[in-house]
Amino acid sequence: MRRRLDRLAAEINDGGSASFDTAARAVAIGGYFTEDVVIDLGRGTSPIEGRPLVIDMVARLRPRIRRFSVKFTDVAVRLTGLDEAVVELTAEIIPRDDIEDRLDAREFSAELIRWDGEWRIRRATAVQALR
Amino acid sequence: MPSLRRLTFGRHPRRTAVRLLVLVGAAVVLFRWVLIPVRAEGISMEPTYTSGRLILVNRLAYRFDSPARGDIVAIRLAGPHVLYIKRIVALPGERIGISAGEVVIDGRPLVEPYVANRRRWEVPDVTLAANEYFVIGDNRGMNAADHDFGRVDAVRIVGKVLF
Repeated sequence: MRRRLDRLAAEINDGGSASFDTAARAVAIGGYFTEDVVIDLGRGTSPIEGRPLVIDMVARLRPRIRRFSVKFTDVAVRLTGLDEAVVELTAEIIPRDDIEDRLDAREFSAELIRWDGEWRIRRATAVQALR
Repeated sequence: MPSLRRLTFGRHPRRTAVRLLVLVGAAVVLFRWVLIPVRAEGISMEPTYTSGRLILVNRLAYRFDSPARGDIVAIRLAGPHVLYIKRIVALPGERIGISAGEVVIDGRPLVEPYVANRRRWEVPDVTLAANEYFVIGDNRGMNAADHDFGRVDAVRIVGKVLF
């Protein structure tokens, strides 16, 4: 599961500037999520619902995302069933120009299911440290 | 004149080596399990702490005691490496609100000598649960929308700031 998350981070961080690269990369990243995924980024944001929306957003944001790299750290996995798990992790966003150590870091709680032989994210919720 | 070797290692090099090892071991234990060095980033704790200031957090401060009002604490934001530094202003079970910039606890205004400037923040009353504290930075001269503050679960309080 950790390797799967590392591959997701690698896909997000991978370069490629041609438009077909962007579209193909977005579809590849979408494969890490279930069809009915819900991503809740927390206070002040609307949840991202469904894999098609995730793919669309990744494709649109890719030029901007290229300026940063994403790293998943402090990954803690808890199996809740044979094909289900809950993962707590920290997503760090690091500028590629090395001006700052870290732009942002957010803790997430994610539900993963194993579907078609691969672990996929069904729900990801940003954890609010201060409410 | 003593030799360079004696100046460097003393009259008993073996004792010096043992002392050095003990010192290094103590430093490792101290900074691995007791103290966390943190570099403050941002303005939310001004004037108490300015951005870039090095802070030491005592991980063991609440081993036998509970956090108290006025304590400056480190709060785990994301993973063990990303921390907020905030001040506790309200304790579990208390009702807290902010009216015209003034913190009010159970209907009584809180005296806060560490606050230099205040904007007229308004935050509706909330009653803290048994495991919740209310934390806020000292810089009340900034917009409330730009300042992260609020209720925090006790388990997220990593330690108390030493200085």
